[in-house]
Amino acid sequence: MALLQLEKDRLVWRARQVTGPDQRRQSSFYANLDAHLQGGWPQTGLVELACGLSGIGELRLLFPLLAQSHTRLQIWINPPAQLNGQALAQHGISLSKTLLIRSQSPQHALWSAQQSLNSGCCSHLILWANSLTAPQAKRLQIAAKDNQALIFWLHPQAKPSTSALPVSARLSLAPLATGLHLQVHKYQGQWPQHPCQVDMHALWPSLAMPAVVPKPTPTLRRHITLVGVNAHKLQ
Amino acid sequence: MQWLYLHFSSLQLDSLLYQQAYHQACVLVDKNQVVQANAEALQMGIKTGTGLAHAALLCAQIKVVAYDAKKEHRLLSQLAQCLYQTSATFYLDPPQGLLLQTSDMLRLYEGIEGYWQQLQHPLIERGLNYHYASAHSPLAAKVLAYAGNDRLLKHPRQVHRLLSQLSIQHALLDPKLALQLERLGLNTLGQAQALPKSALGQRLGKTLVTYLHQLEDTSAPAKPAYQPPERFRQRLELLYEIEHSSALRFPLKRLLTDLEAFLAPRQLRVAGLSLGLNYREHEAQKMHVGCNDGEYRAEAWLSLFLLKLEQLRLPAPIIAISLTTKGQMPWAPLSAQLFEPTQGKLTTGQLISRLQSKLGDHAVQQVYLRDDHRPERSFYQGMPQSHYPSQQATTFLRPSLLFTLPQALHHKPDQHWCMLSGPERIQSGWWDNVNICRDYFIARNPYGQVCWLFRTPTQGWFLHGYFS
Amino acid sequence: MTSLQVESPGVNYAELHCLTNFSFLRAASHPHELLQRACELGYTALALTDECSVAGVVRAYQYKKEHGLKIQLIIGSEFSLQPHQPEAHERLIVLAKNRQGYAQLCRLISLARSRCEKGKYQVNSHDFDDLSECILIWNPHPNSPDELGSLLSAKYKKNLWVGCHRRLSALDQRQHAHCQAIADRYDLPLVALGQVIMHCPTRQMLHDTLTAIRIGMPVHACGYALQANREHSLRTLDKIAKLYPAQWLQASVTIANQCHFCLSQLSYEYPSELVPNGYDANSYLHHLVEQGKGIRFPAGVPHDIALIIDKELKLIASEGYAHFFLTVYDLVQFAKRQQILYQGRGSSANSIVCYCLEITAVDPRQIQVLFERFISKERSEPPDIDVDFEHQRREEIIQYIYQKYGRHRAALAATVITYRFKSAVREVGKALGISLPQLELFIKNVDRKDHHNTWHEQLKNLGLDSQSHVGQCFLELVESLQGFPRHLSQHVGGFIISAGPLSELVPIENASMAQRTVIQWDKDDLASLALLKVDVLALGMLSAIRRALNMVQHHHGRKLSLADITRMDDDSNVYEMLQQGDSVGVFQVESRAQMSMLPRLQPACFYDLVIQIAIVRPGPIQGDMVHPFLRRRAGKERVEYPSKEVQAVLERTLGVPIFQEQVIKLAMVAANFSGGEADRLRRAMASWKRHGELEQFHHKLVDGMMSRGYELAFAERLYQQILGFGEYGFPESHSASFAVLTYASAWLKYHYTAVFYCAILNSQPMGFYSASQLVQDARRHGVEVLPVCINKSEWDHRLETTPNLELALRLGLRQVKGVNKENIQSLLEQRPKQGFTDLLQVQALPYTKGMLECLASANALNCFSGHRYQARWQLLDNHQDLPLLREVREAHPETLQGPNNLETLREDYASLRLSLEQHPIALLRNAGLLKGCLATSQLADKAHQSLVTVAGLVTGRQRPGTASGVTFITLEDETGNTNLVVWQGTARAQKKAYLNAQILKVKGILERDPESNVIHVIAGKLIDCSHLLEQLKVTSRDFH
Repeated sequence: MALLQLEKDRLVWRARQVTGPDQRRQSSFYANLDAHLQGGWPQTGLVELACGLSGIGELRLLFPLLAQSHTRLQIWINPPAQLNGQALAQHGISLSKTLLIRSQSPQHALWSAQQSLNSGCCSHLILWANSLTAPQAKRLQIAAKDNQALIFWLHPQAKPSTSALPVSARLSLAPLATGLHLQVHKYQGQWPQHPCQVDMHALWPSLAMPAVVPKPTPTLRRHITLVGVNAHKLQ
Repeated sequence: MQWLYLHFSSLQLDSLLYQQAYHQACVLVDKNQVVQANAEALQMGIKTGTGLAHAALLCAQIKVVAYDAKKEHRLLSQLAQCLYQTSATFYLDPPQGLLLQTSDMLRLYEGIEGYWQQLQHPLIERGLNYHYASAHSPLAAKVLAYAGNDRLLKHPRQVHRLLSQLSIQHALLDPKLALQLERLGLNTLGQAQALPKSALGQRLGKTLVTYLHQLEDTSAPAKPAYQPPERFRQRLELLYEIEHSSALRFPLKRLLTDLEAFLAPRQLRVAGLSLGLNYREHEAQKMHVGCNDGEYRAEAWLSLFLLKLEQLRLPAPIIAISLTTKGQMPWAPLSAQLFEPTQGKLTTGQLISRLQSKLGDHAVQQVYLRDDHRPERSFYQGMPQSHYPSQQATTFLRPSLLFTLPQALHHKPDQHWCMLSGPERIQSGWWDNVNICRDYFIARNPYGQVCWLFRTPTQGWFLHGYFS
Repeated sequence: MTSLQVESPGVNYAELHCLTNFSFLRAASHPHELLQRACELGYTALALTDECSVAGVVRAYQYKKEHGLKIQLIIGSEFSLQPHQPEAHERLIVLAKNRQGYAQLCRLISLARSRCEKGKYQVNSHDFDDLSECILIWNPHPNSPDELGSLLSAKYKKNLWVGCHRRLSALDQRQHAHCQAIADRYDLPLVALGQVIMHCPTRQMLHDTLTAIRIGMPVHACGYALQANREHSLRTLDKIAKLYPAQWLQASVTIANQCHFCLSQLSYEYPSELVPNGYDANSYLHHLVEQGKGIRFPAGVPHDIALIIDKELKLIASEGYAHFFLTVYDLVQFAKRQQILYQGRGSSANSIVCYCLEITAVDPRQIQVLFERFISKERSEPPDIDVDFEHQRREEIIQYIYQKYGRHRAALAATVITYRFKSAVREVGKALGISLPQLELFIKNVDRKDHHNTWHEQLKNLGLDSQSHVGQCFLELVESLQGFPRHLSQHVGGFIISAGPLSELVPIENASMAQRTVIQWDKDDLASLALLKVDVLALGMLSAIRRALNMVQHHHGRKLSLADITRMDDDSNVYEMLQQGDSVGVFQVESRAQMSMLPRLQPACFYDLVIQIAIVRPGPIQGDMVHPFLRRRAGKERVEYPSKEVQAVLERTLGVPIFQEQVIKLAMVAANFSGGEADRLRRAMASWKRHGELEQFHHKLVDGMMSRGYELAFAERLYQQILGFGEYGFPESHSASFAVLTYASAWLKYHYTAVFYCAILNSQPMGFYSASQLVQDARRHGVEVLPVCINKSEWDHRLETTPNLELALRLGLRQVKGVNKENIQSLLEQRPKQGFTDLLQVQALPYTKGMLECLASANALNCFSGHRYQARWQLLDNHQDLPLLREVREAHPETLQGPNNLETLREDYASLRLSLEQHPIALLRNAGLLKGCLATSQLADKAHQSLVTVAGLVTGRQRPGTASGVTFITLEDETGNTNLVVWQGTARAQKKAYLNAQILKVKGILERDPESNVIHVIAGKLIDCSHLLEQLKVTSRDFH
């Protein structure tokens, strides 16, 4: 019985199991990010994203990936505000496959995450949690891998957790005028690399800073920017 | 054979008024015509068949409700369920009638009067208006009941006499046929009956002849008699008192096994179960467990119950448990996109049930869209549905995270902010009195967050969400 | 609306894209509201650009003229290449630069409309080929393909602009960038557009409601179909200046400066084919009038008449109206050739020229029509002639017009159908999600004639929670939706005929009736633009008179025309008959109100009839003009005139203003109204119900009259009368034209009574009375009426010579319910000379059993079956359908009992709508069920103020708008009709009997007018006796 339980919790390795980490990748649909991560996000496992603040583009980083997957559930656990269905749908995310879970306690959140992964009907899970312990991370990692799922763990610290935590990838994000500054701290056994910039201007031109808008071509000079202080005080 | 017909001439209206104790003129209207009227309305000179306009002239303060045949049918079934306690064999005759076979009941109640006494109770209790008649044939009973006969006739002779005096207009014939008869000077049923059936048939068609035959036909209608709905309901008195919830597992399993045995041969599943817990010296409790796409297996239900029972603390020892079902459905698998089983482990529905059992029903939700310019009303979170409605999203750029309550900014956005777009003015919502007037801007704050801000006409600034 | 000065100095802007509520359900303001507001805001110009329509521009033009607004009005129209999806596609705005451009625009609209059913249109990009004199503004949509760009820019280099709107939407930037890109690609200038759909922001609520009505969903479910904000309104120049670059605004003014077209440039060109070679229009008219003199005045034209004719012809020539008279002349000549009876009316119709042209039969010697009013020179308004034709033959005239002038030159005017109270309640209610039965209850129960309770209050009493938010919205929205145009319908008979293609004058669109086209302007709009129209109307009485004249010729050998009857001297016998109130079936004076006025007014000559017709109208009644007139006529009151001018206007009506013309003239001479003001007053009178425009004249009128020394009471009375005229104004000339028909019909009734009733019965349905009432009246006048019979009746009612050589009226088979004319006529063709002898003979003919059953029910087969039950029984037998069995009769056919009196009555009414048997009241009386009730004929002997009990069938319930709270009920018994007056209180207290009774017993006070002997019964106690018939059925059955 005890052995069985240990085995279930992956604390005991059996020879017949596939050895070595899963090296398969899936595209993030950001060309330079894919190049930087040698093919994109891991196929399965737990990815830690240290965001610092909300609203810097952390979800836009994931939207192109999520928009590609319509077969299984995408489960969001404890987002810091209401998930705007209009925005999700605009970005191509299938709301019929989106499930939202809110839990009273961090334990329940982790329990839900594990149940969801283990059910086998979830392909992506986005979890907001301040911290994870090593066993918790391990359990999520295994549940994700066993069920062909990818879990993004977002937290508000600017710095990532300690390297002791068993995750597939560990990244920290910071805002840029045109997108995100991304530091990879760990990526499935690769060595940490120099930072990378994710350009979101092409996908969300109106959310980029005007300073980096390409200079208007001469023929467009008659164009007058409508956005300006003069329009602020309309009656 | 002996038949009794009950005609509830204002079933829907009576039920409506009985619940609400309404004492003013009230009518049900179908296609601008009064179909049912209460006593107060009748008093004002309003009758069935009165046009709505005319009714309104007669009584300006009249309350008008739309007639709904479906609703009335449902009421009739409910009534039938209740009458099933006193009568064994009877037939629904929607929308307003019940036909009871009385012969068998007479022995039981020692005569028709005794039976009638019993039968009337629930009708009176529910404040129903009804007319009745008994006769040797179902049709004769019905015709006489509709004519407001209100008598228990024992001899066919009496029935014949009353029928023959009945005006053709009240004989429940097709109105066209009734008119045809009248225009031959045949004003009563008796006058028509006096003519040779063959001569009538030659001229007025088979329907009339069949009708005349049926008036004499004592046999039961060619449809199944009323059957109460089959629902599982079982109570289990415990042999011993249980003090810990974990000990409930075994008796519960027994009930669930019975349930499975009940459902399986009927090819049924149920969407929810209600477990009644009867305590010694404490008020009984009920515990509900649901499984959205239906389940019949004892094992599956047990695992759901156990999750709930874990959290249960017993206020007193349990002496009995009972199980009732809700939402019976056929076995056939649903074709819902959300609930397709994947990877052979759990279906989505099962996952949702499991999560809800532990976290509460409202902790697991889906996001639905709504067409509304007002941002907070353009989507909502609700219980997962097996059929997700297909909807179009707006083309206006919207933030992915939206605050339930906009947060007031203490300072106006200054030069450290960067305005990216706007204003987008949203001024809408007069119809439900939640009118908003806001100028929205997309702006980047000094920390690099892309914010959705709005300004109100009083120049107050609010943060409403992030383009995360 | 008070004039608000909110101009911004230095900013010039012309709004070039603005829809009015004539873009049905898309915009939420009236044309004049938009123009007024744009003017207040200081806009340089406003272009009204309704979707594929110019239907609203005349209203705006008229308003601008009347109020002297200093804003340029540009006429244009908006087109969309996919008009069936009102959102999300590009639009093209076409503005008329000049008269030619306007013609091009009208042509384009007509073309696009002609491709589709009523209310829709379809344009292709190639339709924009021929718009050289128009400005085109292209308002592109970001998602649209830009093939239109290459097409248009190749064609219209100078006149094409890219229009960009800014409405504070999230899509503004995209829209802007797109417009800019297109402008760059094709090197086109940009201009600012407002996309205006309401004149002020507060109309958003109404606009959302209109959207909900358009898409057929409640407002709360309309979502993004609604506008997100209120920026589609006319905005202040300050704001406009902030929103658009200055050069775009400048561009709008530049465009406006290029548009010079004004509706005043439209002038009407008459069809020329009516003038034969060798003549011009005037000389030909002269010629025709000369001819006509010979017909109308065989004994020579009296000198004074000849002078007037000359005066009229001069006026016609100087105003250039000869063509118009020739056009009408041509129509009536056609009618005359086809033997279609007609009668002209309208302000010009009763001129002597029209009498000579045979447009009217009013003999000028019999009336004193004011000739100076014939064509009003100062008003430069076109002459007005309406022609009534026999109602069943008007279509022939219409087809003649189409055939003569062609569909491209002749079309019907439109009637703008607007939201009225009921439709507004229904549509707004649905939009707010109020349940349908509730709305029906509101609609059916609100009494618009109730002057004591506004409809707001009545709705509250009906259970509308006016405190609730929805309740408040509902009241407000219903209020503002009323008067909004809903759709264009075809005018009853207003034709416009032009020399060139009509579509260059005004767009033409399809009507819902197949093969009919209407122009986009209402009849009133035509009048404001001084465009000529000919009203081709239908009148049932003309059909009846035509029939009567034919019968007189056939049975009495006397050939008569309308003019023949009027040319004879006034017949005192005819007037005596009318003085008794014996006027059932007589044109215009058969209503109950008219009938009770006849004995008081005692008309004795033709002009008395003219007054009689005009006086019993809401106007004179509301203005309390009737009683003074009666008193003065009876010599009980002196006729005094406050001034000489007033005397000139009012002398012929004894100092009491009765006709509409008199009121207008009074406003001019007594209150110093200018010609133009009087003209506005006249038009406001015609439309005050819709716009409430009369109020503005109140002060001017009263003050004007007081300052000239008139009494306040007189002035107020005049104003009250103007209000009354608003609803049913009656000009003298119309009255005179009608009086001709009144006299002719009364003349026929007196001299050829049987003929008269026969003709009236054959012209049903028309008039106030049912066939049953007409037959009873005929019998009371001694006309023998014979029942329908398959062997003796024809389709129509006809006259039959009885054995004692009298003319009797044989009811025709047309009276039988459920049969059609063709089948009956073919049956009659196969009738043997001696008639059918056997039912089988009739059954053998190939007619449906249904038709024969109807004949049997009507007792038309009485001649061979004994009674109708037996006939029906025999007809129903299926076996006789088999040819072999036809001859085999049933050995012992059942004999059915025949109908009793009551059943006979019931069958008669059911199958013929009338009975020649005993009256139901007589049956009840004979059965002793009406003890104590007097018959109508007995009332004559009762004294004034005596207490009486009467009973009768309720044949009429009338609540005239003028008599507040009174209902007139007509009770019919076997001896005649009793007039019952029920006061509101009486009715309210006894609602059930008052509303439900078919047979009513009344205890009341008899009132007798001492001079006229007119009798009323003032109702006290009302008793519903309808059940007595049932009782009769039971008792009578017991006799058998």
